[in-house]
Amino acid sequence: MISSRLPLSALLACVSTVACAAGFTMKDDIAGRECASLLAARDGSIQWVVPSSDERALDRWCAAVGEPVIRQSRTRSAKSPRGNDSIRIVSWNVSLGGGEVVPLLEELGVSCTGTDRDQRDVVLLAQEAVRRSDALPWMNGNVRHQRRLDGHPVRSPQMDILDAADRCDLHLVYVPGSRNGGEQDGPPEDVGNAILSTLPLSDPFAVEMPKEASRRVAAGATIRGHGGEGIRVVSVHFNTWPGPWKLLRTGNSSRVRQALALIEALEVVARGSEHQIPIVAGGDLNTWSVSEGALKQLRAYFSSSPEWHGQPTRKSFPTDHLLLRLPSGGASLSADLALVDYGRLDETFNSDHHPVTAWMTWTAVYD
Amino acid sequence: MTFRSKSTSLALAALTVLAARPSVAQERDGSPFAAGGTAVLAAYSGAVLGLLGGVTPCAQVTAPATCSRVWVMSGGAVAGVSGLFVGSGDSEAAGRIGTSAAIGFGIGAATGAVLKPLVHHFGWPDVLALGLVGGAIGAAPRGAGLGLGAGVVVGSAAWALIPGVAFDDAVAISLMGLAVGGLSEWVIRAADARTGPSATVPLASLRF
Repeated sequence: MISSRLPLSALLACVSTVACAAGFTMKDDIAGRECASLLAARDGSIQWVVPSSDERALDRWCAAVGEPVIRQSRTRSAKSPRGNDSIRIVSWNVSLGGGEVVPLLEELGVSCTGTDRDQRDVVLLAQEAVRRSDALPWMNGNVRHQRRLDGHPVRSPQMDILDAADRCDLHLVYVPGSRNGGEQDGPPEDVGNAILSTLPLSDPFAVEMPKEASRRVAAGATIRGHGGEGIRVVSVHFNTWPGPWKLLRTGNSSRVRQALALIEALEVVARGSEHQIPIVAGGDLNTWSVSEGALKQLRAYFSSSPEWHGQPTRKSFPTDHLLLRLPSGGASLSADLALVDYGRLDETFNSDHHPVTAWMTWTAVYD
Repeated sequence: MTFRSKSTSLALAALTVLAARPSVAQERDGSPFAAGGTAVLAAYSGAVLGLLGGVTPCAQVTAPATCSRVWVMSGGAVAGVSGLFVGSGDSEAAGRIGTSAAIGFGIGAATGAVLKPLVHHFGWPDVLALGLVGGAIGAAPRGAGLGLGAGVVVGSAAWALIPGVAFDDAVAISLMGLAVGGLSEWVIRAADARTGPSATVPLASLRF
């Protein structure tokens, strides 16, 4: 009897180890959190949506980064989109500042010289954006940071995302996820997600992902015209691999957990909105294939998403995606968007990822 | 992708030749204690091998944790039952396999300790996890090693030669090879424990 019970107990122990990965819910309540970057939310400048698990581990990563940055353009003001106005939304991993952001923006029709008018409105959802600043916190022994990574290829002069936004005088939301390198690794810098836009960005929000490996935080905002219409955009970067312990505990569900966290967080953000508006999410999801469960989950929520364009965006992997969710049941006081084109740019602009772009037009305008 | 089922078949086909038999004479006087100990070790080994085998297939579904549990249960059950037979027929099996698992644990944990300062999100739990994986493989080293080797060869060839086979398919084949190979070793041990060493000539044999 003992001999038959023992293996059953061992098996149940193994299964429960896999089964007992910490569950979480997403909440816009940062009570109990300690890091200064999060506490910026207390003045209402940015809405944080955070997971209910792993708070202490996330705080150790968070303590090493600076505060989010929200900047308005000096010269580009709010304007109402008109029927048939077009907007190009681009998702691009800028490879730790190695990607040539300004040439890409100019290629897309953004005027960065200050003399020409933009040919079209552009929103860039950037991942692995780098911010360099002497104002980043001093790191004591208890905080966590990623090993210093210098982008791809190293020969490229690395562009600070704040400098890129300044050069083209764009509206900017930047939310750091982790520190890039320790105190001895050169100028202090953190790395995160950003939104650069020719259209004003309002209601910025940040979604801290459940901790699977290094800390990841999605950056979001709403593009809003005078009539109240708008699009919610979010730039997101999922982890590539969890650590072995997390893999055992979650049964390799890291990216699905992050996808579910993003969906739940967007619902939390939408609760504060009066109207349903379209949502465009773009990011480096680090998917190995287009049939990954995380992408399936996201496509179920972003049900208006275009089919995959069929081309890999990082080496042979389809890592980068743009996803679209249009409100159901009419669009009362919200903008209707029509997708005209979706695809990958052939040039990488010195990043190790191709940008993916969606060209959309406004089909309804409400004044 | 339909290839995934093909890859499973390929991995299984490749591993049917891995009839690595016990190469030492066994004492055929098992005890309930030996049977229980071997079965515990086998259930743990099979569960972890099952988890590894399911890593890539389970990434394709919307509930990967549930999928992984099925692989863990299946691997653990197959190996656990096999372990019962092995321990029932050979009172020294638990000690011998336990030693091998301990060596595997040490190798895994040492690898984790080396990686810890190099991988920024590695912590001590990850070192322990690599030790646990090493222990599971160490409990069935010949089958797991040969299965992984066969999986890597078949997966790499398929990736290189067959259009539509992606890198994750190659990884899936390799990890399935590892899992099927390790579990095959448990099943073969159990069969040998019940019937005595088979007369088939192994095509390959590795000693650890």
